[in-house]
Amino acid sequence: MRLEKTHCVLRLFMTVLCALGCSDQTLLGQDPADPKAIAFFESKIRPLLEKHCLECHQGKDSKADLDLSHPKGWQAAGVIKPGDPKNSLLFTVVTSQDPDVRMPPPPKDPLSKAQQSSILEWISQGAYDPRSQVPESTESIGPKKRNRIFEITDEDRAYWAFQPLNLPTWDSPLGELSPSKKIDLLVGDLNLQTASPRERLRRLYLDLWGLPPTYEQVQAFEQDPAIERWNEIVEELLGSLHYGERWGRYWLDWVRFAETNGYERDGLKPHAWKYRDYVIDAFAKDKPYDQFIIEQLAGDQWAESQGYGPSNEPELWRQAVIATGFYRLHVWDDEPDDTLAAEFDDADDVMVTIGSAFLGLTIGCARCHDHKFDPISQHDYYSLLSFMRGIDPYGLSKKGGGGRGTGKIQRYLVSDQESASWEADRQTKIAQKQKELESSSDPAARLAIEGDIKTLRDSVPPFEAALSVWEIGPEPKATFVLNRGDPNSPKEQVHPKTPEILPELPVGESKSHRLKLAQWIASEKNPMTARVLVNRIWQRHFGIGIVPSIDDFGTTGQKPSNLKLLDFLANELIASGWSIKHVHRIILSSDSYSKSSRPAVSSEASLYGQPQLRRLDAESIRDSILKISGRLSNQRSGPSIYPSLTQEVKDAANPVSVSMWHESPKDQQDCRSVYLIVKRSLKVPFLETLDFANSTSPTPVRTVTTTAPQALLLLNDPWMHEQAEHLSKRVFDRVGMDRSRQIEALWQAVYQRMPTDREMRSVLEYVGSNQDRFVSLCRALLNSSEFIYMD
Amino acid sequence: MRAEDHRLDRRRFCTSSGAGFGSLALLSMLRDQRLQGATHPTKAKSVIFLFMFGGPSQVDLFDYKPELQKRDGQTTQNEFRRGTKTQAVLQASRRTFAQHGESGLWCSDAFPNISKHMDKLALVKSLTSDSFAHGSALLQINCGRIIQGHPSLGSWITYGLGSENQNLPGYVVMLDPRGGPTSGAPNWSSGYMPAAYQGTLMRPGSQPILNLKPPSNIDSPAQRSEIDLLNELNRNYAHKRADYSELDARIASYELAFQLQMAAPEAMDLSQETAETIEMYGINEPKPQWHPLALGPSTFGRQCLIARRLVERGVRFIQIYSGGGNAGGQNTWDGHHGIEENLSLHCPEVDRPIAALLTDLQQRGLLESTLIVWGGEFGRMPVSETFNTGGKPGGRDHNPKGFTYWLAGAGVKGGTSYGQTDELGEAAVENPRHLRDLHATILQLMGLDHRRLTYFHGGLDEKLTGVLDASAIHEIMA
Repeated sequence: MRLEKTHCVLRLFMTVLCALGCSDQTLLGQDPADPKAIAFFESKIRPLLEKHCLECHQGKDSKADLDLSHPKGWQAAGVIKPGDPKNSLLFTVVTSQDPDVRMPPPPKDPLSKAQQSSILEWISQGAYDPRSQVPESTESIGPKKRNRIFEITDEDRAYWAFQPLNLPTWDSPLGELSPSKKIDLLVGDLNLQTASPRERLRRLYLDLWGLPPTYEQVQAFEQDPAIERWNEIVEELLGSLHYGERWGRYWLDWVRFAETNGYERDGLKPHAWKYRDYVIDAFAKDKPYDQFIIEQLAGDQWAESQGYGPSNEPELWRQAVIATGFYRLHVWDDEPDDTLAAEFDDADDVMVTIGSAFLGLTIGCARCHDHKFDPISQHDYYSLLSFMRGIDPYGLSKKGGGGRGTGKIQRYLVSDQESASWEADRQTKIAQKQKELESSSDPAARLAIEGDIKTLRDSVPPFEAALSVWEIGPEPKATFVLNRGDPNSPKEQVHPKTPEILPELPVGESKSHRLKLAQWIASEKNPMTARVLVNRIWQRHFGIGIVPSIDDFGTTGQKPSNLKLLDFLANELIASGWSIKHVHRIILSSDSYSKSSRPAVSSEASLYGQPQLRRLDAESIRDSILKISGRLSNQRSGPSIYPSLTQEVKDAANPVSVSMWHESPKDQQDCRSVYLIVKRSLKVPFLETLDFANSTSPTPVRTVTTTAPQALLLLNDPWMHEQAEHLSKRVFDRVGMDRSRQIEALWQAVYQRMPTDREMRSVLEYVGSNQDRFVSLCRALLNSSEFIYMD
Repeated sequence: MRAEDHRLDRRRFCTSSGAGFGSLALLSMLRDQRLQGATHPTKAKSVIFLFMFGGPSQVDLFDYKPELQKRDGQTTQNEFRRGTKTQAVLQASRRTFAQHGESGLWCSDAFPNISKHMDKLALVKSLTSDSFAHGSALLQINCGRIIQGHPSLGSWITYGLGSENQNLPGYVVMLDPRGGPTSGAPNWSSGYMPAAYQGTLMRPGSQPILNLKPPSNIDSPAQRSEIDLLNELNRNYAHKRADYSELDARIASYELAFQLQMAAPEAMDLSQETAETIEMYGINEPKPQWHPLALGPSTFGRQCLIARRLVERGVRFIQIYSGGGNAGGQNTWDGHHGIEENLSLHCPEVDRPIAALLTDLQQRGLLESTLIVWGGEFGRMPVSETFNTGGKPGGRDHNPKGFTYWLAGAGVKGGTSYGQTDELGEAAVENPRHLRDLHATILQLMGLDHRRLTYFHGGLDEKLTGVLDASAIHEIMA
């Protein structure tokens, strides 16, 4: 009410002033070439207007029809009389003591005395305003913009994603049906054909492992395609580390995993690969998803709360500490222009990732202002951020010159006593050597002692280390709402609190803020968490999510095509003790999953319910080629592998990146792609060309492109030629020199089927008696859509 | 209409796109979105961005400062990193400045050839940006933000305008043979946009694109037969899956790849150029012997001429790097270790080629449809940097507080100088403009409105110029 009144007053004032015809162009400004006037405007007035006025007075729906973003705006409104501040409404309102008149209006703080006198000086000197451009209004598109004053409305509260799970009710006897059958009922009859056993088995293998089955496995299933057999195969595949390698990689996309910092030096994040192995292991062992969340967000604090440590459940403790490497995956500029701004940029990167990966919310949009579309206020953003303000930032405890040192981003996986004792021992030795140095006068001896001291100082403790969080101390840093996201303009202080629109959940007695946050996200009462994950699982199995915008469940995203199905799956996840494999099982055993990808359903609203024809992702293409050529190595964990780079790639890369590329032994290079280094300035070219994750911001779904460079890669890359050679040798070794049998064996290896008569005829003619032509045929098959796509 | 709204519409676009470099399918899908950006009528078709990596020194090239020349050797306070000041010694330029052409724009003798074209150039001498460090400064000029992960200028322009030649990449980057720039590929990345919009590296010679040709044991007819066989397999597969148009796009991509094996070397083939043209660009100049790092005009000249040939073939955005490898050495424009040595190395490498490019484009009537942009990631300080030159005067440190860019060609008001730095050339004081205003200007000259050219990502309609207000520099537009 108060605001409305203010604006009524303002309107009245303006009408009067405009009637006086105050916006006289001849009065405007000083000589525009006067650098002092420009400097004054740029240093004092522009920032002030931007910070305190433009939030409401900008663009075509400006409050009170006053647009202060360009001179024509304030001229038209007549609020400034250049040269005459006393008769300028702008000056009157910014200096008013009356809360109903004063601008900026309460609860915002009034302008400081210094700012008021800047306005006075500016208007007195003629109100020079060099902002020449009238901003053109952009037509609003998409979802409805929220009001400027943040308020949670009934409409917000009724929004689907913020509702508790709403479980479908089943009339007897439907309630007795298996979850898979219930999925089918919820999807409904889309009038689809069932896929052939071969297509189904290929889909299942590529889906769960990212690798095709063998021809023999397809044959066996064709002979016995019963559901019992199918379920056995599902179990077998879910029980393999290959499943963890495939699905762990999805998680790595969602949290923008990479092993280097980006920017000029693109330094290596120490032990980032342990986080990768942790993720693979978590999927392979079906770590309950709530626990997976808790470990990544607060593994250290969780372990402490359980009494776990180096001497009690050391492996559980170790895993939990490694999981907190989650906080260290962001890009990090080792030479930031503004250290404080960089600290908040890094924190925002983590906030955006938590929002996207766990909650399906675009939280980052509320960093500089209230979210323009979703009911998330700026206050919510900083309250959420304050849960994490105890973390020692990546780059603030500087060692080394040039601002390039990292903070405490590693942790030794031994007890504090053990590590302290090692450190004390080192210090004692250094002190001893210092004494020796003082008492020695022989130059040669001194040199040797100095060398010893340096060695001691540089020595690395002989303990296993992990990339992890550290707390700065018992108390986190104070957190303030930052005006327009500017760390130098703190407003009110905030304390750990979850967003107002979401249920405030009872969270234990824990004093540890991050653990509270983690438990809140991992709670079954949180309406986002389970829905977001099951939607992702569905999307990977079918190609399109039930909510197609899988990282955005807010109003800028898309609505669920089938909310009942989404909620049913979310409940299955929670009721199974957050078992991801349970969700796989019930989906994979449904009839819906066994349907053919063609012909496509006619209704777009039903697309989510039909398995889509999909191109394999970069890793599956590379790994499948290796499996078929017989080269796939058994490397299953450990430090990342650096494949050989061609000279062309090295020439085009920055020398810093090339110098850090320590090519791995050839026999290790044919590992599964998830074990290849993810270096932000130099991605593995094969993967990058085939639409690898951008690895800098969360990649919910990789966009698949079809480009000429991909064709060139698969046709001409030397690695592809090697694989085609290996494949042809493998075929020869297997079936000898009979051409027809070779072609059959090749079809079996690549497509897991026999060639048709027509294919056989045409290929026999192509190959003839030419061995090179057979290698060429192998390459063509590895390029072919039937191999690169999954039905 | 946003990309996201199409996610369900498989028949127009599923999660896949394109066939060639510019991705026809994707472009038609995004048409409505792009059209919002294309609002200004323009003749401009292509951009050639001449990038002086390391940061060229404005006070030695275009930003003549008589006061600095007078005060050589005097001590002053210098902010050499944000908020950090030190006592430093003013260092006058060792170059001789003169006014040129009808416009009387200043240019030093470091660019004896470019200075003949001053009436074609519009200089902006008052640019500012947000970082003193190479990595983030490069990202900001290339991608609009000091934070990694955003699409580059070339990506925005090819996203907004598409490409006119589907047989060549729409966005080409040519590097200095001394190495790629700081931070590498993120400088020409498509960020959160599809990979089809990222820059493609092209190098002079018969293998201009990575993996362009098969290993030497496979000749062109053999590869043709292999692709014919592959096409047959792929057509059979696609035939039964008519709902999925990306399978047809995939067949087309192999045809394009094959054609590219001819088209790319053809675009690079300078044997079709006259001896006069080759001479004009300085391509046959021998490598100078006075300095191990010196290249002479030959390399950059070749790249400039290739750029003209690419423009003729409808390539949308071409960026050429002068200077390469690690920043901090004389292999780039990063003249910490002696500005005179640095200028003597790099100015002759680009001067003749750039002048030739301007002449050549004009003679062929291409200058009015080609926008030339010249500059680096920041400028340099008017003071001497002594800590890197062993106490001897000579170097200059980074300076994002006031530096010079120039534009020429399509829609640019030639012979213009806009904005000023202070009397010593250190910070912009008259008409200071942020880099985002330069980005807005480049987009506008290309017929795109920076406020309306958006890409929906992470809940936001992202823009090259970001969320802070930006405006094009109209004063340098014709």
